[in-house]
Amino acid sequence: MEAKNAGNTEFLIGISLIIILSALALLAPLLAAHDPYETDAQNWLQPPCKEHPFGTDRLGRDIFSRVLYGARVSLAVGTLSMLMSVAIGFLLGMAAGYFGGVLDGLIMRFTDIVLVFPSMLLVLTLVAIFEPALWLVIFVIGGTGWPGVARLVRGEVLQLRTKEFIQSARMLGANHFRIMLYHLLPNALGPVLVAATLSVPAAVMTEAGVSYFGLGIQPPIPTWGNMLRGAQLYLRHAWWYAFFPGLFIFLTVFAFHLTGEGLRKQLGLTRVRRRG
Amino acid sequence: MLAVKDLEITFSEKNSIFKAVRKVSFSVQAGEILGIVGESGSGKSMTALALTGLLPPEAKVCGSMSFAGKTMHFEDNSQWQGLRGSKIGIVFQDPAACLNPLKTVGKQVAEPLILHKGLTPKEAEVETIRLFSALGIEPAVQRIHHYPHQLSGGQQQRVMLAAAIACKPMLLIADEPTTALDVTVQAQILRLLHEYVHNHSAALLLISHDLGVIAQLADEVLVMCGGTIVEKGSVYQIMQKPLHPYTKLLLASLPRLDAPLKLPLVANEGLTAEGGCVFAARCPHYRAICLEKEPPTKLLAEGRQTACHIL
Repeated sequence: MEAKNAGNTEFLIGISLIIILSALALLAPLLAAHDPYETDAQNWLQPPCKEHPFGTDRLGRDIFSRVLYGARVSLAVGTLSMLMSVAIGFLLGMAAGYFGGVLDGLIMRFTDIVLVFPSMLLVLTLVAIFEPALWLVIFVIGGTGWPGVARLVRGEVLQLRTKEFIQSARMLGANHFRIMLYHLLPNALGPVLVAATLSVPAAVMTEAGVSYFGLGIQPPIPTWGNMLRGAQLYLRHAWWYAFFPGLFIFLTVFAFHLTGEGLRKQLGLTRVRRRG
Repeated sequence: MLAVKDLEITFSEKNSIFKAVRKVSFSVQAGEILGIVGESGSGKSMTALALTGLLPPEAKVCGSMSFAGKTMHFEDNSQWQGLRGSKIGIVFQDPAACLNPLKTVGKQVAEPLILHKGLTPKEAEVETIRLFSALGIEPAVQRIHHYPHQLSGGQQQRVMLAAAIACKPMLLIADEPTTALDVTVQAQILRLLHEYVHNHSAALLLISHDLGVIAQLADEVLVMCGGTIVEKGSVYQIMQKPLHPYTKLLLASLPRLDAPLKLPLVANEGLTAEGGCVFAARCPHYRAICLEKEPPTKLLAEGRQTACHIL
């Protein structure tokens, strides 16, 4: 038996971190003392100092500024691809669970097909085929992240649709569309909220991974992933070059996981299947 | 106003067929209360669901039905959509399970008004408040903002009733409306049902296994067993002079204050065989013919009917 407000602290710490990170990303132009693209040949690979709190990279660019601008990319990829996979997953899972039968079979087998590919491999392949761009990364991560949500929603709907209040809603004249949107969706929202929260760090990690491989968002646009890629030759000489982007990836993932776990405990749910 | 003829509901699995309802025919007039009694599994609720087109898709429904002068087709779901909640209202057994836990009760009662009568949410709220005070859900103005769990069982059932009668349906189906409630609340709900039928000259189909409830409210009574109608008559005839052995035993099964508890009627277990009388296996008077031939429905004087070989 968990304590009554179990997860409350986790949730609060997580959500505060998320708010701080989002604020840093949104206010990047105000907070960054330097232009993230401005090179400075005199001051390359400077260790952290007053002028450059996180040091400078191999072209003399301010790492603090680049990390802040990178946060914009990472969080945009994380949240937008999460929204996309939740939307697709909700639609397919709801249709499969509510209508059942052949449609259910088709949708769930398709879901299985998407699910058997390791998501990183799928994303790398798709990103490699097309021109790398921000929207492409979002689309590809969002477009491969939905099977978990679809399964979850289908399970919830299967459980809910035989409930008597759904039948009584039909009895009062609600049509399929209204039942799905107005009666089923809010009741299935809890577990999906948790899964959605937990899918953000997964997307952030995937984006960082893809960019690290050089297939994602291309330099000079700063992202945490391609900063790590740039840093890997200088690991022995300039620890700060890789440390700060890495720290922010860690903080982001940590924050979203704390929030998700906190939510899960507060909503009294058992473990939720995560994507991939 | 409502006439059902030869209603049959069949569930078929890979190699077995189960007939939940067989050849059931009846009719209800406006202002009339028709009671349907029978034990669990007798097909009462299935009949009610068929009349609203709400049976699960795997159920196969045969027969014909006319409602308010229109022939209804059991296969055509779109035909029912407009009727449910506007012309036909239904109250189920367990109000706690029938209310959406995440919506205020006011919103749930307003739903049919918005869907069928095209009222704006504001108008629907006014109408909901009026319905709530009419049904004794007080204080109505505050109650509409409450969630189902904040209400007592009796209040929840009143809310369900309010939603069912919001659009003034001509036919109200009450499927075990008071089974989940205690006796004092039960009487209040029954009175409300009776008032609605009386004031709007609507028809009420009252489904219950509780003979007391049926005796209080119904005009006509159908006794169902194993998916068939075994006896039909006025409430007085059925209660005072039951003819069919099933009805007799059902009445004798009522616990009494002045006699020791006895169980003359064994609960229905397993499926009844095809071809014979549905009650033959449990009937104290059965003869060989009961196992071989389905008893024909005999029409008797004063609109009574019964289906039994030995009568």
